[in-house]
Formats: sequence, C-alpha cells, structure tokens
Amino acid sequence: MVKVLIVEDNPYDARLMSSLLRKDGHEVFVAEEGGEGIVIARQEQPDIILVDMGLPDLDGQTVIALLRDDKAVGDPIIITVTAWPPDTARLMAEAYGSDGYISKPFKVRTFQAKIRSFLESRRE
Amino acid sequence: MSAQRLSLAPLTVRPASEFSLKILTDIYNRARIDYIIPMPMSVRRMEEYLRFYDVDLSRSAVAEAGGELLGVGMLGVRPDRTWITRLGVIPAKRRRGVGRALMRHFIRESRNLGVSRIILEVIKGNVAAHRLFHRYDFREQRELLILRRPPIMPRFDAPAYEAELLYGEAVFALLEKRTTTPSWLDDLPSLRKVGGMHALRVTLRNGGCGWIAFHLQPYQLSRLVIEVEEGDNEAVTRALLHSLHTRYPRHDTKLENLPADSHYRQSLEAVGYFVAFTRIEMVKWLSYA
Repeated sequence: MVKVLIVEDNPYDARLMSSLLRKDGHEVFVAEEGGEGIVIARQEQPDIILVDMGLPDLDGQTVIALLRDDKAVGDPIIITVTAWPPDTARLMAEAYGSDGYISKPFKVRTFQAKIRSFLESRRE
Repeated sequence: MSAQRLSLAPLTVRPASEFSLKILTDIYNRARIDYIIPMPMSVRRMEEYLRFYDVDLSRSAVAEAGGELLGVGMLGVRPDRTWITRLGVIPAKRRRGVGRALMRHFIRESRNLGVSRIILEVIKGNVAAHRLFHRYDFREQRELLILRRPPIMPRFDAPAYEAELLYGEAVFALLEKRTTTPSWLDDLPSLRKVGGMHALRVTLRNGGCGWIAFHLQPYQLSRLVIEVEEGDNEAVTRALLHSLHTRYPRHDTKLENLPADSHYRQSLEAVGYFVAFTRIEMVKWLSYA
C-alpha cells in the first residue's frame, strides 16, 4: 500500500484528492498547514507528498525545501499542487526540488493518471 | 442564497471591525480561493498582517447582502497615504458590483482622512482587478518583483570582505538612510513592527561597502533591503549576498517588491534568485479643490 500525505488547506481540494487516492487503494494522511505536514511526514515517511503552494502558515516552497532537507522524511516523491500559472508552477517545482506539479483545478482522471505516472516513474 | 435573492437584498458595506478575525480570515480565504496566486492566511497570519501594515479595521470593509458575506477589503493608513489590500469577492458573487462598492468605500474613507494618495498593488495578469482599479483612476507607478531563492542553490564566490551582523536599533539606523523607494510592505513602519530584523554590513578590501537588512525566521529569510554605500555595485551586492547565504545556507529566501528596474536585480539573479511573479503598484492622487 502506498502512503500519501496531502498538505492542503482548502478542505474541498483535500477531500477530493483523499477520496480519489483512497479509491486507488492508497493510505492517505492530510495536513492543513505546512508545519503539521512536516510532523506527519517525519512520523509516516510517506511515499508521495502532495504540497499546495499557498499554505496559511509556511509557504509551500519552504515546506518542500524543509522536506527535501530532512533525512527523517526519507526520499518521497514530492508533487506541487497549485493554482499558479503553469510556467510559474514549473519554475517553482524545478527550483525547489519537487518531482513535478499538478495544476488546480484538475480533472479527476488527469489527477489519477498523474499520480500513477509519478509512481511508475519511481519504480523504474 | 440564490442569485435572485441576492439581487433583491440591498448591498451594504460594513466596517470590518464589526467582525471577528476568524470571520475576516475565512471570508478573505474564500474570496481568494481561485486567485491567480492564492495566498491563504491563518487567523494568526491575518492578525500579524493587520498589525504590520497599519490596517485600520474600522475603515476596512465587508460587503454583505441579505445577511450573506460577499467580499472583503482592508485599508492601511499611514501619514498622507492609504493602501488598499486583501480585496476579494467570493467567486460566485462576482460581477454584481461588490468590488466597485468596496472601492468606493475605500476612496471615500481616504478622502475623509485627507490623504494625498491611495496606493495598491495588483498581480500582473489579474486582468479583472486591474480593470477595476483603472475604473477608479488608479494609474501604474512601477512593477515590483517577488523573487525566491531556494536553500538548495549551489554556493557561489565573492570578493574578499569583512562582515558585521547587526540587530535592534542599528538595523533601523541603516534603514533610515535607505536611498531606494520602499513599497508599503517594506517601508520602515512595516519593518519596525515585524520584529526579528537583522542586517549584515560588509566592507570590501578596496573600500567598497554596503548593507543588507533582512527578517530572520526559523526557516526563511525575507524582507530583504539592499543598499550599496560605496564602490562597485555588483561586487558589493555579491559580497552581501555571499555573506547572507553562507551564514544561513539552509534558509529559504523570499524578496518581495523589488522594483523591476532595480540595479541589484542582476546580481540577485546571478546567485540563484528568480522571479516568481510580478505585482504592479498603482496610485490614485486625490485632489480636494
């Protein structure tokens, strides 16, 4: 079973992503703030972490930088989830060391396909 | 509430001071949910924001119709100027005059204060907001860049220098001598309130010197202000940035509101800073004739 941590303050988006990921058989953890997300990431060492860029406590970018620098978190796939324009999202993802990004709003099938694709690329 | 009920209920603009911070934060987050660069806030962050930027809640406003909250906006007040900020309308309630009602309220409040100008910032690409501000005679003043530098950037070289770390009033003594024009966010009244401001003063062997002020937080450096006092601009700026990032190598860095034509921009980009997005600073001059 794949462990997924969602760091997302928007309850609608968090619920939607959780439900889609659980439907695909993954174990899901949700944090509404960046600090809480880092604590859960250390405890659970998730395989995938989805990080919203706009969080109420820490910037999503700072959260990713902290996760990447934290040995206790392991080596998860980190995906930026953002409503930022695609060019900015890509730039941020590359600069901060996330493995890719998913644009919001997303279509259900696109979201599921992207998660599968990230998992497959890691298995290869 | 249905569109029909909303259209029947009169739109009212109430002072934001009538609402709790929790309600203000909630309506702000809901209004900005689809914003071009979403910047949600917690209650704690909202409280800090109001304090740092001299937001007057009695002059800030919440738009309401039939008991339903539709939008929010805040007004910062400083000598001879006001600042419109955190303006947003709930997505489903847009195109019904809510933004216009809030703008008229802020212009009226600013006139009541007798200030000479109203300032605001709009994210470049937010066409609807930009159009709204034009409608009320706000004009573009300059472009302001929001730059980031991740902590994973490689190290870089700099000319030999000596650095001194400053904090407390020594930092503000430097900021008082700043020669660049600050935005509302990094103007002295804001920086005095945030706490935790530090500065590094650097002297090169050839006599070049300057300083960089910054807000030091556990994971992030922000509110950077750079000033080259003597010598080659590029060499001194590079030494300042080298001093900063070798002292705090694991900090994420955010530099807000650097003027797009700043002569420090090139040196910043050469050591890993990049433009995340751009704001346009707009101003409306008020006449009282």
